[in-house]
Amino acid sequence: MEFEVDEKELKAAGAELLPDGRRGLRLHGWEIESIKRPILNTRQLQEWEQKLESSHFPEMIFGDSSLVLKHMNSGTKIHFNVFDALTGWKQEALPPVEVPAAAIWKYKSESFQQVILDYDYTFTTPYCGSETEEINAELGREATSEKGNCSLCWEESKEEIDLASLALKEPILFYDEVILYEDELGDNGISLLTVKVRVMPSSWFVLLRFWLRVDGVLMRLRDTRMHCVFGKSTNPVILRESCWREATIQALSAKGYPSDSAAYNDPSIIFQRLPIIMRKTQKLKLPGTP
Amino acid sequence: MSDLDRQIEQLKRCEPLKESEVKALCLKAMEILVEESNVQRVDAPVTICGDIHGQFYDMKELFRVGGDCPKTNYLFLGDFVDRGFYSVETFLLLLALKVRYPDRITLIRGNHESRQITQVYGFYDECLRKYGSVNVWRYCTDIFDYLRFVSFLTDDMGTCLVKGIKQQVVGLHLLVFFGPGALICDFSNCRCVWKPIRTIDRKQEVPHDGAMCDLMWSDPEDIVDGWGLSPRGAGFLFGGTVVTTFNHANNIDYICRAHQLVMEGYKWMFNSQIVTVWSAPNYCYRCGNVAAILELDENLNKQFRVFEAAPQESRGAPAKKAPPDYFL
Repeated sequence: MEFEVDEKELKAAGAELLPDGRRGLRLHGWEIESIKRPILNTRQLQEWEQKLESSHFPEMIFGDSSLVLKHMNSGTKIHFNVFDALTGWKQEALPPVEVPAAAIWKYKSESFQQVILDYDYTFTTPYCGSETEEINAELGREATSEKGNCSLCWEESKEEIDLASLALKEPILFYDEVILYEDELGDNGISLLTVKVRVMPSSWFVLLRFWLRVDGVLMRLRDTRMHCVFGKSTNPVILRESCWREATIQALSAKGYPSDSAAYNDPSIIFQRLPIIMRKTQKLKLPGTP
Repeated sequence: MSDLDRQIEQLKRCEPLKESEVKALCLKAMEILVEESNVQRVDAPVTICGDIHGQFYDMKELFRVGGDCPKTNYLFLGDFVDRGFYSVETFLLLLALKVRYPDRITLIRGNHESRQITQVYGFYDECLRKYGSVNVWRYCTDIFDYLRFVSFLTDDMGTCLVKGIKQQVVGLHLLVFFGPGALICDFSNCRCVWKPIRTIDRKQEVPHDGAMCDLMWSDPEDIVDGWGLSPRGAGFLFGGTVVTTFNHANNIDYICRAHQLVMEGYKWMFNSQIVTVWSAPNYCYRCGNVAAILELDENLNKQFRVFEAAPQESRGAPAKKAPPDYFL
């Protein structure tokens, strides 16, 4: 389903839609664009296998899809892409989660030789977005400096994202959801990384969500929220809040919650049942106009 | 026009049957399916189809490309339901065709044809939504138990089809099963490896272990040569040597299977020893993949027919305007 925007509201906010059928808009010096493409084909996957040094990938990998929020004056780009997310998965390299049937399989498979694969098939990632600076963007030459070597630095912050103001029913000028990857865990649950964006006259708000349900075993929710309030300053500030939640089905059922998977299809309904295991807020001050 | 023909026409328009009609259809189907053994011959020419997953309008596209049943003889490798919006209509149409033309369509059981899986992945909810009760889901899942999971496809030389792959030491026999798919081989030379499959009692929910489970849940894996165990701790993986050895020992030309999404619709592995066929284009209405079916003529010459998803406007359901999502 496509989101349809009200032309009048766009105009009143001083926003313009992106040209040439691109999805997104320009507003208050930001260009916000969602890019949705098909899953990678076999040839592209082979390239990714080499680049990421992995032969295992999510079943549905929307490798060319992304969400990009570009601050045009400073050339700062906040973006969400699959490659960086999977790089994070590879680095974190969690041990695999065993499904309930594993106990029986171990016993019966002792009788012959086999290789036991031990990669993290849940594709759990600590990814919380990427940021780059584009230098000389106005000359059409993009020199992208990688994280760490540029002036973009997230600092710890005590501030909190103003959820009350986000709960106000301000008009939404642009909304989209981009699926980055998805895996059905061989019908043992779901692993899903998506990013949602909404742009209002006063701010933009992003939710990057990693959602994992291993049926009969555990649920894991890793949310990253980013909020940027449009202001008069040429140096906007972005707040980023990461919140990780996790619970085993066993712990949930001990608390009297249902233990069947069908009750856990939608993380936005059940997230409060999952205890928080990590939370942090960071702030990024965009550099001034070069 | 008989009731059945009328029902087929109705289902072809993607209009579900009444609950009482579903009940009667399932009873008739049961009478036919109970006579089929776990392993049964299918005569070429035949067109082999992979996963459908409730994508009704894309299945109509499949029939447009492959020809109508009964003119074309079909073999579906399972996973008819879940994920898509029209699992009810999809499965009932295939079942009605099975009852009407029992010798021209073969339905194999996929891992989604199970009570447990359909409760998580959509078919159960869809039945509840469309009928207001779970009766239709009950009738259909009872039928799932009667679907066979192995078919031999034969011409004079013989071709056979099997789902699931897995190795098990049974006495002195090395038994190998293959995952949602088909074996192309010389029937007369095919060894007794099939015998244990014949003896499995299939009229049950897919259990968590045992031969029936293995048939449903195993996948080929590039990075192992022999056998591998999935990192999930359950489910076997098989490599090139396993397939080559099995095919050689049983005079099998190649295996045709389904069950795994392939962007190009079909994909060969292990030096053309095994091919995956996937028949749900634009899977989940968002992957952008093409789909394929495998046509075998009377001499088992093969031709892949690749097709795309049905155009949006032919899908019936209009693209609704999404309300703004004030997510937090």
